[in-house]
Amino acid sequence: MITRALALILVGLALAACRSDPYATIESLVGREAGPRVLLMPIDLELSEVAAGGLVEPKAAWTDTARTLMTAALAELLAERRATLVPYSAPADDPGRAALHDQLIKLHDTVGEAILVHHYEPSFRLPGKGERLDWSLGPPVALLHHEFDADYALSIFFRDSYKSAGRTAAMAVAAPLSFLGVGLSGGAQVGVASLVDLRTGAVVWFNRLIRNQGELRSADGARESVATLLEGFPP
Amino acid sequence: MTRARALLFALALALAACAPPAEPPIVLDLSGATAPLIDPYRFGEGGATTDQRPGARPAQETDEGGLWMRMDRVEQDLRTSGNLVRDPELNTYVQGLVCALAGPYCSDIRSYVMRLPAFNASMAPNGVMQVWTGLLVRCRDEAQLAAVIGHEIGHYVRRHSMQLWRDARDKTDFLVFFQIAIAAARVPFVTDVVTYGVIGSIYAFGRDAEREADRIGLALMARAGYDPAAVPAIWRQVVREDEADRYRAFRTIYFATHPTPRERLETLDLLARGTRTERRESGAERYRAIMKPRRLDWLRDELALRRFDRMEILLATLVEDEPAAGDLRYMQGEVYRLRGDPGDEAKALDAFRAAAAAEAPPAETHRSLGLVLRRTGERAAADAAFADYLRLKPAAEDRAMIEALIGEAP
Repeated sequence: MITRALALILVGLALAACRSDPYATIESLVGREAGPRVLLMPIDLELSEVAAGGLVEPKAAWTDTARTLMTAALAELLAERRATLVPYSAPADDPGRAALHDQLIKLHDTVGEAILVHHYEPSFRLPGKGERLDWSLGPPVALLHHEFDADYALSIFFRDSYKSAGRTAAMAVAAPLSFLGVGLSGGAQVGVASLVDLRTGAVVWFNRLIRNQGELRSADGARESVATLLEGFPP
Repeated sequence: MTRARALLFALALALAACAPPAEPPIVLDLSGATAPLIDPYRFGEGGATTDQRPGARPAQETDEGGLWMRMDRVEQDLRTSGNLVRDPELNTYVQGLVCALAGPYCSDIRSYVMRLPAFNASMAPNGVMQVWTGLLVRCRDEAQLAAVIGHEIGHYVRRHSMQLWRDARDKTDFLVFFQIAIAAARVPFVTDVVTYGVIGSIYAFGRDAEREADRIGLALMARAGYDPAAVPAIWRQVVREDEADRYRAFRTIYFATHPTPRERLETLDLLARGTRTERRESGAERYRAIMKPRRLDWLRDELALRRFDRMEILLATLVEDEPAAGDLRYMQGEVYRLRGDPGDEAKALDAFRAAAAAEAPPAETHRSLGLVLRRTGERAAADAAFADYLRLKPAAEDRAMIEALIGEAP
């Protein structure tokens, strides 16, 4: 879905060891008396295992667990900001409306890729925008505003890999040979998150996370990863 | 190694269409007296693991479960893709053919017709089959399409995605330790040789899977009553297009995901000849009734690739079957108009005139005729052709442009 962006992120990974670089256009969430409602869009998530030889094998069970843990951690972190996490559900009995939702999600992916390109790769910076985060999905997102009675939509793309026992062994055996230029990498975390104001369509906060650590398979690890991903998230 | 890995990865997740087989020649006797010598629906043969039925959702914890998760996401993308052809009649037709061939696996397989040029279909382990419109325009009859769909079902039944993934993973796992050991021993050259050997063997395993799928595809289509000769026929078409293409890139077979089209043609030809069957249907009329009203846009997509030499061959083949088809004659003219080899202008004029006199030519035939006539200096005839275009398509979106051309000073 977002493969081009993923490739860019991975390029970034080679360049930068451990980073989270948020952009924000608002000082705080604006909602209602009871606090803003944030719609959590379906998390685009995959956990995988790096085999000894370096092939990356997707892991379905880990991914399911991580989705649950991440969602819980997000709800907790938002609650600390007096915001409520609203779960997304696709309109099961209305194909026309479901198609509109799908297209909004894809539009968001495309805008997200553009932000990754133009705000995280200095050579692709746009003269007209510079470092100013100035992107919008347009008024049609009001559809989600009304359907879920939500003020913002939070979208997350996350890939997380872990070294297998075989990879760990290979890295250990290879370590003494580093003077020969032999070096093997282990797992990595890459994530992208964005917040869209559902009343206007504007992207009001965006962050990219890249690092060679992190753990999404435990509650504590998920909380730490999500907190890092939400760095600079408007209070 | 990165590039090789990316290829492997792509390869393991979706096996592309193209397909042929090998020794020993299998004699398929479908004439009734004897049972077929191979059962194309048996999945525990030729290296396949027999732990579960294809299409049974694998446990989440397994490597195969991971591949399914990834392909489930691909399916979600296909469902919402702008390239998905949603035409119910066409989809019913393609899925009907899948069912006629897939037997007990019919309900497991979900076919998606994708509007994409080029000869391709693919099969994923979770039952997602892609059929590209570039394949539909290249098949001359239902039997040829059945050959390719049968091949894809072969991948599915033998769980080739899973087999390929495990093969690549196990071989690269071995390789990394070997590379470390050789680096430690500081022996020159050996690492390169063995690395290429291992990577080559991963590709070779994949080509063997293609050969197996070819054999299964032939068996399935013959069993369903189609003429086995259609299988080599589709490959003959691919080989002819390949050979005509002046820009054809040299490709080494060593890193090829599929056997060469020529090998597939030759092997399948032998196998098809050895297949005894009573029914030898082509389904040509049924096929054409579905595809003919739909193919003009698909042919335009092919044209947009600007692979004119290939398209020239493709159209010549289709015109053999339908000499009076205005859409095909028009596309022939477009190939010559846009290619611009010496002599192409004359060929384009001939083709557009033949189209105009044939059955149901697209209105654009007259516009293209006018454009070529302008180029050859026949302004009056060009203006007449433009006028024909505007008369046949009064709401043409380029009306103002064409009107501006009419009567323009030379």
